[in-house]
Amino acid sequence: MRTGVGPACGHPSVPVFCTVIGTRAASPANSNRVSIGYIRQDVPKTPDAPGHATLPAAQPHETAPAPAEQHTEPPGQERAAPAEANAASDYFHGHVPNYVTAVIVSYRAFDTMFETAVIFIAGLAMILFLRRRGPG
Amino acid sequence: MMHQQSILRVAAKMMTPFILVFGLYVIFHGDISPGGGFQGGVIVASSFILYGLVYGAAEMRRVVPRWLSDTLLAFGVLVYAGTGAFTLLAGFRFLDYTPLRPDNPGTAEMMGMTVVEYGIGFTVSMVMITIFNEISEGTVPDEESKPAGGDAEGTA
Repeated sequence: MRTGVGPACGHPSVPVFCTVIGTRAASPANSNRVSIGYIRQDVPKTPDAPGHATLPAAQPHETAPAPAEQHTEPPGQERAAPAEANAASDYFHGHVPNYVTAVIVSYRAFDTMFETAVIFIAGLAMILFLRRRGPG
Repeated sequence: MMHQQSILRVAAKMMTPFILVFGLYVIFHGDISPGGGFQGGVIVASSFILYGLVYGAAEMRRVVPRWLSDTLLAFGVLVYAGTGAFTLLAGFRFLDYTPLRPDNPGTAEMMGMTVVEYGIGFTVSMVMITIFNEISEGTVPDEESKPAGGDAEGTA
């Protein structure tokens, strides 16, 4: 099973984010070690630690397939499971609850900065070319 | 011209604060509900543009002077890029909002996104006001319908 995929990844509305951000150790329990999109380099990377943090404690290899079955459950139970398990999973694995804003301003912040710069240049062109010099 | 139409004047003066408050709500609430700096900035600008359409270009330039709109237009981009520069100088990646509150990066991300949305809101609203001002120059009649078109105003 893939590490870093929380229980909300079974939700039908977030499949894209789970594939994109699947490499991120993104659970609300250890979200203070994690920056946006990646595992930070100064964090000691133990490959199974994020997956184990989301699972129940004391799990040898026998209990490991049990959460894997959760992802293959029918959609009715799958929708009910994150809602009752942890309401914090609605927070997009530590991001803000609005997915669109989290992608626009956080995940693609560099893109949005230059979109703002494009609008700024539009206003600058108005000032430079259309503003009448002098009074009035 | 426009100073005789009292229905327009009263309706515009009634609707302007509500449009302004709704635009500010869209900006401030952009991190947890649909909205954000772009949409809210346009709504904020639309309230000023409605005011300027009804009350004249000189009155609008009195409410939002040109030095103010020019300053805030650049200030918004500066807030955005300054947030990125701050995070870069704090030792993180560009626009990684973690150093705003290093003990809780989820809250730090929300804070950083809110600051960035304010910057977008400043830039977008003031650019829309500037576009309206410069394109409509001479076409929107002034309040007293002076022939010179706002000579009493200060220069930009």
